[in-house]
Amino acid sequence: MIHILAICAAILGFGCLCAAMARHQKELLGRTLPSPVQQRFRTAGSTLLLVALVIDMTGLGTAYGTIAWFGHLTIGAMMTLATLKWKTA
Amino acid sequence: MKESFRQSMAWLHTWTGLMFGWLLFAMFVTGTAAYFQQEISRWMRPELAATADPVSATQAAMTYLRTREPDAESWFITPPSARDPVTEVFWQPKKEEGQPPTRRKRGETSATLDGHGHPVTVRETRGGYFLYRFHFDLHYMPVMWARYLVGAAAMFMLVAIVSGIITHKKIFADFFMLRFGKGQRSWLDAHNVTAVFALPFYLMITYTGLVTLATQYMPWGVMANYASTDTFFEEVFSGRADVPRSGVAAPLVPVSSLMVMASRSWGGAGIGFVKVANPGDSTATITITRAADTVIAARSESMVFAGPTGTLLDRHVPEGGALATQSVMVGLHAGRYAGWGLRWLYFLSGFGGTIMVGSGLVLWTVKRRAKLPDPAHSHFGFRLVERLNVAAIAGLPAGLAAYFLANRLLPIAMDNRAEWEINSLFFIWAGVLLWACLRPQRRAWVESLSFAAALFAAVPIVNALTVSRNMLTGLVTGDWLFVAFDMAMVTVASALAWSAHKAARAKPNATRGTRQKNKELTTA
Amino acid sequence: MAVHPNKEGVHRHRLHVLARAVAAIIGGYVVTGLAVACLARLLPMRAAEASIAATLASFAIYAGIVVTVFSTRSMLRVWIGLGGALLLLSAIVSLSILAGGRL
Repeated sequence: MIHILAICAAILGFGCLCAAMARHQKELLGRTLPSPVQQRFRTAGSTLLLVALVIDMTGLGTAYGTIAWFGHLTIGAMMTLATLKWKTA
Repeated sequence: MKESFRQSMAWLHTWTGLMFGWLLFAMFVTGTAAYFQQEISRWMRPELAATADPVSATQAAMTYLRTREPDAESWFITPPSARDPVTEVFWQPKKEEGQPPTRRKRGETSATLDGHGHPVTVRETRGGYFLYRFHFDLHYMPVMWARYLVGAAAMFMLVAIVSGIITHKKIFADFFMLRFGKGQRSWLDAHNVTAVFALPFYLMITYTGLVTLATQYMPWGVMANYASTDTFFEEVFSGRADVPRSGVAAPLVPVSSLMVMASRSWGGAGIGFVKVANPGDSTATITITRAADTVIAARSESMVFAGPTGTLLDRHVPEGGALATQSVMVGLHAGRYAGWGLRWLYFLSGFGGTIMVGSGLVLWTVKRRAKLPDPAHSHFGFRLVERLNVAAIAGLPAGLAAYFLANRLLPIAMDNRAEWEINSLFFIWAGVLLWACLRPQRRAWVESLSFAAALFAAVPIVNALTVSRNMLTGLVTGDWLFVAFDMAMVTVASALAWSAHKAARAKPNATRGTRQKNKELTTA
Repeated sequence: MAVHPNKEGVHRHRLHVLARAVAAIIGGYVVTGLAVACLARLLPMRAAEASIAATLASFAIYAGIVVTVFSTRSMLRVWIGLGGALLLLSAIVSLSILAGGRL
């Protein structure tokens, strides 16, 4: 359902934003990525978070969807962090 | 102050957070639980299995009220819903001539009915509703004092959030930073992460919480324009003035037809509330209010019908502007409009808030302990904070589990049973506080957290031994409430047990070298 | 906050903190209340709306005042600021009430 879709978009979005950061690149890959790649990750990440908002507003209504979006962002951020910790354990 | 803006905000954040931290922790725990208050109430009244049709249940409730209190000034009926199978009724008794209104006890002017209008014969309990009321009314004290305390806590929280945002300069760079096993740094990371991940929720919940009781905390806006708050409320909220009885008897139309008509005009929305003024009289009116689970605004629309004829007399439509904003803000806080998905998001965010407050409290002691000249002999203030931390973070959850256990274990026919369930919560909570004061600090954490874990783990077991519905029967018969509740109990027990385990394995007091390094740390 | 190691310094520090707290909590509340009353009387909407709009804004105003009190360098500036706001807002509210209307 809509909640699952939006959460997936949020996880992917935060995943990109995380991957765009030098500190986490070093943790995950052992090196940093070139600046244009970082920029593309940042753009992709922000776009995906907005996609989550569009999913929510379309599927749940404008007001209700916006409120739910904040919750989906929270879950997305949490799941990304959990994945990061798992991958770098 | 001779330091930078950010440094002064760091100081402000630390102290506003600490001053009301324990109360805020309790508010977060009970507020979060309150999002499932109906489910908790149903679990605490396991005798109630059936659902009820709201329309016929309301009609049956009117029959009950006509028999029990035909001369009442007004009847109030809360029909059953998908989440609550009982009908709650209360009434305003007829005022005796020339006598001041007597304060009746709660039980004397209210009743809980089943779908056929008969009082339910279930164990006496205040259920999840108590946790909701505790969230802002606390307990064992006059409600007004509690609300002032809770309001002060919320105001301190608002300042803590603002100062926290200002002082957390690397809010984006440190967004995903969570280092384990680094003592103070780990606690700071945990506090930052839980704080930032649901920051919009905390801002919303704190501000809207204040707004919910705004006229008590800030009456000056109303007082500047009205002679008293009463005249304000009359102008804005009362529909029709209370009309005295004419003395001419007239039977009421069946309320079911009115409920169906109202529901249809609201696009199929449910009915939240039915009020009958002057029942049985020719001046009777029936006010039907829309259910809260269909619009965000807390103040729902209503329709007023003439009692004897069913003619529509008045409609209260949503207001505009500031009044609508206030209504929406209250609705956002209570979350009654939320469906299942959003309700769980509210719950998880509230749980995040609980972790945020708890980790902040622990961070305060971890940071201070590193700076103590002699860790074995700390000053009174520090020891007090340490003990109160254990009492809040381990004690309240233990009390909550005790509340559920008492519900299953106290004799069904006991006097004041509901009150004694509540007393059990505070008795166990106080016990943990006492234990924390008597034991060495590290042992206190391990033992109290283990105790709380054990109590939560006991809930599904005691439930299975005392009641016929449990997780296993639930899986077979589709009784999802009991499946979910048991799973929640096991989850909480596991989390508490894990915390106790971590506390037992925590590194001993930092050596002088590390303490020196910690001294140079500033809050991020 | 700079912590002084000697006893007298600690004592002075605590008084300082207390003064800020009193200014922020009590002074801030009074100024907020007056600001809310001013807004309620002056906002160009019907009385009930203005009262509620002002009330809704009150907590943001209060939080803003608290943050300002704790970030202002000199305590003297804090008292002058609060005192000035108090006088100005009281004057506005009083004049507005004397001028009639609404109440």
